[in-house]
Amino acid sequence: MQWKLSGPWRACSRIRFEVLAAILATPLILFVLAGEEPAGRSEAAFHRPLDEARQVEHVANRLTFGPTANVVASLRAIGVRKWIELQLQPERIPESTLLEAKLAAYPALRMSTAELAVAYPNRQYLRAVSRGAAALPADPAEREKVEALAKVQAERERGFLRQARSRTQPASRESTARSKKEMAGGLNGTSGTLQLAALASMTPDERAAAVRALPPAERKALAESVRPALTVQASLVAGKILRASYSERQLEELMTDFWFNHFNVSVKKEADRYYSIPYERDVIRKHAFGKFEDLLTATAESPAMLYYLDNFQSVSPDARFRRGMQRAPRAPRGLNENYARELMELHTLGVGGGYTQKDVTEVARCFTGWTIDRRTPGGGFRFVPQLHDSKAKTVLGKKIDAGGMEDGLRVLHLLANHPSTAKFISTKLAERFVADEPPASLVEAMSATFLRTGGDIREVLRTMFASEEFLSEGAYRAKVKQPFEMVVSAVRALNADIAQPVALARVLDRLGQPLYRKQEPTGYSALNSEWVNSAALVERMNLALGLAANQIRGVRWKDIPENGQTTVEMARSRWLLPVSESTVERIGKAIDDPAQEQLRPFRGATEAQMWAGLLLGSPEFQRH
Amino acid sequence: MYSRRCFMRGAALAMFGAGSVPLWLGRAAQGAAMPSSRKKVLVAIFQRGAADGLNTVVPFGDRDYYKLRPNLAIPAPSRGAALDEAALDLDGFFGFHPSLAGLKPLWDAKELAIVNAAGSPDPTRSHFDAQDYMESGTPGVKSTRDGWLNRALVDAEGHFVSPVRAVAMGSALPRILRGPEPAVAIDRLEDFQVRGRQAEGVFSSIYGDSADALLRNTGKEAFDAIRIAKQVSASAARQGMNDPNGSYPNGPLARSLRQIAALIKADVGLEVAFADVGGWDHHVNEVGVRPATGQLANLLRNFGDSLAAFRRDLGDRFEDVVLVTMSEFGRTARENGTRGTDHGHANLMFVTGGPIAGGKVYGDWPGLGDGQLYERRDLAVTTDFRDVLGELISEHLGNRDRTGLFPGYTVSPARFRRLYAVS
Repeated sequence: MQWKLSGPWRACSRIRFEVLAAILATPLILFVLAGEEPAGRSEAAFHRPLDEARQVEHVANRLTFGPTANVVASLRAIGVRKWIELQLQPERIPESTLLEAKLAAYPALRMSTAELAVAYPNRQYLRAVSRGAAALPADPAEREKVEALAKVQAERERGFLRQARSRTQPASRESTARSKKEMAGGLNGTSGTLQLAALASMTPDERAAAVRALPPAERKALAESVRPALTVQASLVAGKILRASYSERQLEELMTDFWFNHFNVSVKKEADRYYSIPYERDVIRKHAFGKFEDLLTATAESPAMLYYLDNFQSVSPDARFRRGMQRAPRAPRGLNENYARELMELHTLGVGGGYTQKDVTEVARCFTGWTIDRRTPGGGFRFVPQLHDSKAKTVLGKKIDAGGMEDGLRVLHLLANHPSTAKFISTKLAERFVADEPPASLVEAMSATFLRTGGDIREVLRTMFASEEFLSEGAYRAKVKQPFEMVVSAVRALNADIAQPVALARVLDRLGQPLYRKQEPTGYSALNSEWVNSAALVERMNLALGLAANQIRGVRWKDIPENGQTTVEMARSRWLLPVSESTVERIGKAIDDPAQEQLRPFRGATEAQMWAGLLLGSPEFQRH
Repeated sequence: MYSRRCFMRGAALAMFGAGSVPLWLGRAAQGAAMPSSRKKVLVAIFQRGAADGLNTVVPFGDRDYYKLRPNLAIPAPSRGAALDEAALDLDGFFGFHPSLAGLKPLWDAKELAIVNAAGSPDPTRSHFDAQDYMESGTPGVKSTRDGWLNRALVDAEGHFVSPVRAVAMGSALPRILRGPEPAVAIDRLEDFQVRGRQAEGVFSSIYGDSADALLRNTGKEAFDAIRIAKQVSASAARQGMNDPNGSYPNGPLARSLRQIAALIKADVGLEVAFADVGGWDHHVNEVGVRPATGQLANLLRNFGDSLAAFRRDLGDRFEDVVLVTMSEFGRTARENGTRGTDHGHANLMFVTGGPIAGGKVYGDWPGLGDGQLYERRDLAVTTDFRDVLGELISEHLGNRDRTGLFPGYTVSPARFRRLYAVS
């Protein structure tokens, strides 16, 4: 394919070429050996403006989950500045009807935590109901449903027990007769609850046969009622993929992703499956362009965060000695510093933001008693004065002695308006939207806006997007797409229809960015080095080929080029992808080679699909 | 941040790694900077879900064990129970669950050690948090960015590193292996490739000639790693045909260990490997009709047989290998009302490998009496898991970083259990 040299000659010429390349790169090496981090781009590059065409390309790529025909057309029609201003006010942008139609299939996305708890009752809750340890919903119909499910759950567990104790004994005649009778009646026409009750008493084979006999819609409903927590999680994931792919409010989606990641919680910690839907909707998206202090306070009061970082069980060390509070083996043990530490290190001041371990402990004391209301299923935030440490504390040199819930609120106010926070948040935004090592001048300008406006996120973003540095050569294609960005931008490039978002979620697991399952409170890194590794790159290539050849179930595109364009023309005009000539030439040669026909990645892949797959997997497409 | 380390790796590969055979295999070309490709290997196995250590290595010499577990306890070897129903005596006090019979030869050959009452000092009983802490190696601290198995690798700055130096079996890189040193997750070696040979060729050439240095270098690493995976899986397949006795059982752990063994035997520069195995959270029906049957018995049989097959598979390469197992916490000393156990505290760790002084139960036994249990319900921790790992990393991998390995915890040889016989 390259030089027709044989054996050692070929290797030798390659090596000579590489050595030459290395010599040409010598200044960089010396820089490295001097012990400095190599700057991604020189300072001067951030002061060289982009021409208009590249401005459009840059904004279409960086401020969306990937260019579409619509995005490109409207950017060209109203110009870069106006387009950005519009995106900063998402309420002025009519939402895509396609998106709304797709989201309608996920009712969980519109429910409160309390509604979710009842609509998708999990095992722990049902067990608690059976023991009489959890309250039932007030609504009579829902109460009936939960009671029935709890009974089924209890019977199921007793059934398993019985089975284990008497594995060698034949099933009793009565039970066989009973399940046969129920089988004869079939499951059709019975309500979901009755179905469950009937199923619970069948043998596994009978159960499988009965389920197979159901119409598809009922089978789906049944599956959801059997594995409710997974249904909730799947809805959350589907919502994210669909919104990123189809929303007209692209910047709002990017900011929702940014803030969720900044205030990360993980559905790997079980109850956060339920808490994350309202968290993303009512805490994160709601405040994505608002005041930072409001966003911070909303996260602090969210069950999602209280649970994830354990504050719900952090109590005053003195509380356990109070009247009526016996210390059961699994009762809360006292102060838990997790939330306090991450609040300062990850949410506000940043590492080196000027706090000490003593501050961590003092902040933790301020938040004692901030907990989750566990008296009703899906309960929300609750402040319990008896668990609060009411003695005076000192945080960052300031005395906090208001007492009660006000202690925590004062800490949040102090942190939200701290200069270290302004700098930390500005840096993080600039790393995500400009470059891995954003110029200090930009971060300073953003921090100044942050402090001047009392942490107005929209104003900080305006400062960033209006800056010389944002529309500069230094920022242009400086970022490697994160896996989620890569996958969604590929879907958008192909104008593909997503019937089953879960297929893409599985792809993201393999690419190393499982949605809502980042375990650490740090969230995912936005830096290039995090996402460029050999195994992930192979997966990106395979995803590109699979998606383009319609091999990912539930995601399809029509490989008919528009306006008689070739795929390369489409990539350049609609994806705004600056494909290099050498990439085009190599792909073209390989596809035209008749000897290679049988070696296509997928049998029957069309030429357009091959082109698309190789372009989406190319180095060019990995950046934006 | 494009780290210096990352750049050096890239530059090294750019200059020397471009041939069709990965050059770190051809030692002649490597000079003094190249370490030998026959490496010391540390394999970590995580039993997710909190395995019941008390029914794995049975303290039949502790009378309280039988008081606490009337339905679950494994009979002592001397009590006249059938051979496959009673514990397999190890030292007169502890015995294997009968399902671990496959591991008995390793014990007898003094290649397998047990560290009992080991675990994390953090009191959490959340699977999520405890696994997180055991993988980050920083109990109680959530924001640690990397995992201890990554930190266990000696900084390769300026040296050549194999793209398969650190491998996790599975589709995603687990917490334990995340960090600054490059590590890959490989689900199946034979699937680690670009779909379609033609497409692989095109990608290889467009990445190789890309002006984008970061992606060009990573692309080269990727295609090198693919070549290695192909070589290793091909030679493993050949060997499989030559050795059809199928000594590995079925199941995900065996599959992972078989592939790790293949990587070790191929001398492609593997230094640390990780695999996990789930299903240990037995709140209900941990045991079947009799204590030595049921869910835990089946899991343990597969677990023990997988480890034993791994050892057999490695042959004399076992000399270079240490394997250590862990689980996020133990289970309640007392059985619960549903023939199971709930979330507890201390557990045990198996340590096996050529250099291990095996055939011995290490660690102090805290006892199961009323005053001895942690929070009056669980086995107490007498060995911090970091002291076990610290010894293996220090002595076997030669990483003597005392403070960086477990941030906030100093690795002290004075606390080592002296499992490592060769020094």
